[in-house]
Amino acid sequence: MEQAAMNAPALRRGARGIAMAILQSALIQAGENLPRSTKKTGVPDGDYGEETRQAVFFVSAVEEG
Amino acid sequence: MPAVVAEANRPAVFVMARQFATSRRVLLAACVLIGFAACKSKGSQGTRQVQETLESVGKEVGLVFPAGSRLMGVHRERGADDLIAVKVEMPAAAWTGFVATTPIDRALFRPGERGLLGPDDGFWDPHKSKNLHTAETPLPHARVLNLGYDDSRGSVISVYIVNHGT
Repeated sequence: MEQAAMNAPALRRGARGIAMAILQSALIQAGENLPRSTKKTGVPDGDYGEETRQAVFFVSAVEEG
Repeated sequence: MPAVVAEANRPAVFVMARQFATSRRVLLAACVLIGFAACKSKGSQGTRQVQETLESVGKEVGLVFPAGSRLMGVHRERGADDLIAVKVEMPAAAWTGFVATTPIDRALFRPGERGLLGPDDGFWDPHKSKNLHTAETPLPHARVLNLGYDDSRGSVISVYIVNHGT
């Protein structure tokens, strides 16, 4: 939480892992479509690519109003 | 007699043999050094594996694993949110008692991965489970515990634990 508040380390393209997959799942549950990120196995791939980045920015913008 | 003259007077075969012996000594020394480095590297990996015990990992994720449990693997991530993922196999008979010791209510478990455990990678294989159930609960200090189990193998239950920051 402290790290996230300080944005350190920031989300970076190419980051991958279980935490990223959980974030992608949260984005999907929030109504975002991530067809490229779920194409391989039907579940989020855990890669912070362009599609996920755009979804993060979109959800952030909506939440900030 | 000076050493240079003595060397010059020796047969060429003797000089070549001596050079060969010297280069062999250098080669041998290099092999010993490489071997030592390899052993040291292997030793430290072994130490890490020994340090990752059910007890130490249990303390890290705030869980106590029942007797007969086996640690199948540990995965850590240090990103914007830190995360530890642990796979444990335990006797099916111990499962109910184990869940009762966790902060997750048994009634919260639902079928499927539900975006709580992430993709398969090596030992981490929740998507290969035939009867996976998952649940999540918030923890103090802005952390979350995600728990999954697969009871399709009868006497052994595979348990997937993800403890991460939010």
